[in-house]
Amino acid sequence: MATNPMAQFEVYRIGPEIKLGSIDISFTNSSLFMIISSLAILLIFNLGSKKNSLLPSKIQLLAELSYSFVSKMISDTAGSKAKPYFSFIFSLFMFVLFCNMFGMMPYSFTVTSHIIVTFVLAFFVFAGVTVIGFMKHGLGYLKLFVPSGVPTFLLPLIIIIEVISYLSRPISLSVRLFANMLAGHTMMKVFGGFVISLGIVGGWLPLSFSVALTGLEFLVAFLQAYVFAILTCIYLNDALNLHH
Amino acid sequence: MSKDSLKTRLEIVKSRILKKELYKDKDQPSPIGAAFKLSTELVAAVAIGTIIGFILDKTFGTTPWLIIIFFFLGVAAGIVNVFRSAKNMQK
Amino acid sequence: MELEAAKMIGAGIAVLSLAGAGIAIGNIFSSYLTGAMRNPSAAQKQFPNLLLGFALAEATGLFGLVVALIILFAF
Repeated sequence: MATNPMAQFEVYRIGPEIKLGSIDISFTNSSLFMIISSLAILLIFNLGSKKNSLLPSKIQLLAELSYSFVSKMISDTAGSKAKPYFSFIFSLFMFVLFCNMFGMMPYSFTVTSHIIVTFVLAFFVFAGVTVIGFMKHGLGYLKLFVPSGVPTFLLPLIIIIEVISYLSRPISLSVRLFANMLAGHTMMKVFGGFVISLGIVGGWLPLSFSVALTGLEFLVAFLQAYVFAILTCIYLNDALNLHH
Repeated sequence: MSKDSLKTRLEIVKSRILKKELYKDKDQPSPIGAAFKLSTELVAAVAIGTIIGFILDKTFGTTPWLIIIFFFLGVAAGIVNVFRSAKNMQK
Repeated sequence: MELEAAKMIGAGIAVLSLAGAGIAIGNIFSSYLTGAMRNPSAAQKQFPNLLLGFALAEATGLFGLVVALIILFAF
């Protein structure tokens, strides 16, 4: 009965097989959980903003708290110029948070534990920040790679290092989220397997560790969504307000 | 003379409020419509870029490079479109 | 040496980077605690920076874990 701890990340097809030429675009369990997360977000925020009373009910309190949390995060890191980008960062933060949290439920599938999902999110953030930087500052955006106060003979080396660290941003952003989700869920399955294989005699030790690990995984799910959003705000700050 | 024109304008606005027509000429789109417009612009630009790259790849026979290049061009074009239409909607 | 054995040894060496992650996380939290003991009223404002620093340090260690998994399952 000992299945592979990596079998939980398998993407399989649900329903009929839809092919576009030679590319398979049928409905998978990954798409199902993305739809579930989006519907949950829509439901909570729709119900939370129906009646705006001065003494809020619980769902309205939830919606208002998340709104003010993201708004404070943006204004702290990127200033007032980033107010138009609030809806983008809010959707990004809520989507990653809900996908991570839905992965904590038993028998569910974690959408963000696949590198292709996190890479697309991080790539669009990177491309968006670069395009916004070029649209706002023209070619002066390239001054981002030349920090002030550097002696001239070090300049080529510093520029190369800065360009490489700029290009590594989408990779680090995506791999951070992917690795945290993958490692957490794999460890939970491995310790679950230990509980069964050690039986009634020694199974209590891995079980207590599993309980602590599940608590840690809830914290990591929230923290990784928060770090994804706040790094997006920091990159947006670099693009909008040019001084490093 | 200007007091009379002010009075007629006030009458017009009062009648419009009574008929709940106040926002009709400003033509404000509903928020769901605005959100769908922005998201379809981004998705359509990326999809069209990828499809153009795919078709060009099939005719020229080069390996996936053209798909990748046109995907990046589609992403950049989509983001520029979203930026411009969001700026237009805010005016 | 056959491929399977080399894969195992490579994966084992790749996860040694998590030692650096452990030291870094301990450093971050210890400096936050030291600062909080000296100036407790200003500690709450630096809490987001603490979470950001922890996640970034953890991520760098987990890059090594990803390399180990790639060696084990993709080659």
